[in-house]
Amino acid sequence: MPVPNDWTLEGKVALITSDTRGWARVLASALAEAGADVAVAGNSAEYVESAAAAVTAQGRRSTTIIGEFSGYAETDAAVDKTVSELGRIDILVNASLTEFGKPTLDTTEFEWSTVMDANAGAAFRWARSAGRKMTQQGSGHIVNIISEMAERGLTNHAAFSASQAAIQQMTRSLSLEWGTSGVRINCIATGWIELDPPSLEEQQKELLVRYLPLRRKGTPAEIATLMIYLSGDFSDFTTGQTIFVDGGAMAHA
Amino acid sequence: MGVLDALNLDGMNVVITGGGTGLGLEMVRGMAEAGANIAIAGRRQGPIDEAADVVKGLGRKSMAVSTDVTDTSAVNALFETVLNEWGDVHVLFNNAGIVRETGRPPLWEITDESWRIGIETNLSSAFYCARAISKHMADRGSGKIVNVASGFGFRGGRDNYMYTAGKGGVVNITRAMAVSLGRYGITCNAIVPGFFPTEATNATSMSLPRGDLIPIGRTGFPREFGPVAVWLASAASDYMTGEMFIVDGGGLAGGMAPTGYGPITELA
Repeated sequence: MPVPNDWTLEGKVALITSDTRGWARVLASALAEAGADVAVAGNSAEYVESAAAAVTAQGRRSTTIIGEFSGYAETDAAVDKTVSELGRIDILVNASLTEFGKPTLDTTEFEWSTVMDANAGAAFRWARSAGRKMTQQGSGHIVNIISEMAERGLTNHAAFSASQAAIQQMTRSLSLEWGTSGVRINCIATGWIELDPPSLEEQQKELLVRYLPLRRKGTPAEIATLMIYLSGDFSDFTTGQTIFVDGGAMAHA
Repeated sequence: MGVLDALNLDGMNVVITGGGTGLGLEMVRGMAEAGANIAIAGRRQGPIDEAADVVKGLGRKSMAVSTDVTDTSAVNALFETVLNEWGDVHVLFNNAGIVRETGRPPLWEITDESWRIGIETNLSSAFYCARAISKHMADRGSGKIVNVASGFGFRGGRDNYMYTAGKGGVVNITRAMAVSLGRYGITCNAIVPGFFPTEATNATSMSLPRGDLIPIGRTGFPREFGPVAVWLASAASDYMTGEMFIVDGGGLAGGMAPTGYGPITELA
């Protein structure tokens, strides 16, 4: 099976932050399949451990870090643990996501700040903690998995879409700030992706699916190879970008 | 079966225009390494023959078809030839283009002819090729069209009208094709390259920006296009359509401002 020689993460160490949709397991498994050892961090032991198990099932080393990661001290410590347990850190995949939809007139101050901090704040902390090591060693790849609501608005999603746009804009600025330090940072923006979408026939009953040019939902596996590309040295001229994998939704009027 | 298996291009037939030199040649090399058979179209026989030899050297089928992509009968003949020989075309790469006419005339000195040639080569050629092969792809229920756009498809280029307008057109025809052809199982995306020193860009009067104007501090290496081409040609990108895959060292993330510019301020 000819996988081009470039597509390898052999010898690399990744840190992935876990979501609670089950995507991190698929993505951590893909990182391991490409050759990386993978640390998994998150606040849900169930999801973190399932992602770590997928890494060891690929014959790679893994370590888990459970926490809330609400301050620099915690994200710094998680990066330090990754380095002490697995030897180094080359890749950060930020796959955690806090979803939130509510009419703006009912959204409390607490909800706004929680959504902004859980998404944009956390992405900033993780990038800052990993970026310190990466800029020191002169290499590193950061991949932020975000929603395409970074670019398109949605009713009842003012806070959530702002939190996604913030990550996209942070990514652009960091790509410039760390560009000459060998660190690359990009976003993968997803459309309607589900872990286990229903049958195609069942999906067609939803009006929104019929609006999508590809007329189906996607799966996390369909962003996995792009994540590997953005995690490897062979993508070193790609930085500051948001790449949308969304069945064509962004192209649509 | 892992996710990386989706990158396998064994048995895939690719047609690429402008595939004899520069970025096109590196995309050809990458896709052939991944298993694809590749038909290479271009104006000059020498470079496309050499590119075909690269593909054959990797054990894949290849043919070099001398084609002027602005001539619709030549474009139609290209696809007839490939279909007669191989039966199927799975992937089309619209890579042909010209960076610039000679010289940098001001707007008021551009002739009808140079406007026409610039738009024909940079934009219409992609339409002609897609038109010629899309019915075949739709009948099969699958296909991938990959256009090559440019950062100048999003931002203005000084004294660079035909390229800027043509590539802007490529960006949006990519979206129109994605929205229209999705229901036939066809995806359409664009690669957006930044500054790469190639024979074509070196031949223009436009000097490449120095590395210190590109956020990562250097121009690109043509070989950095191989993996991108493989991903877009393969089943790994099946859920992506209508999108721009930007590979530009960070240029579009900020702008062509001197690298390192960043005033430091404190919260009041």
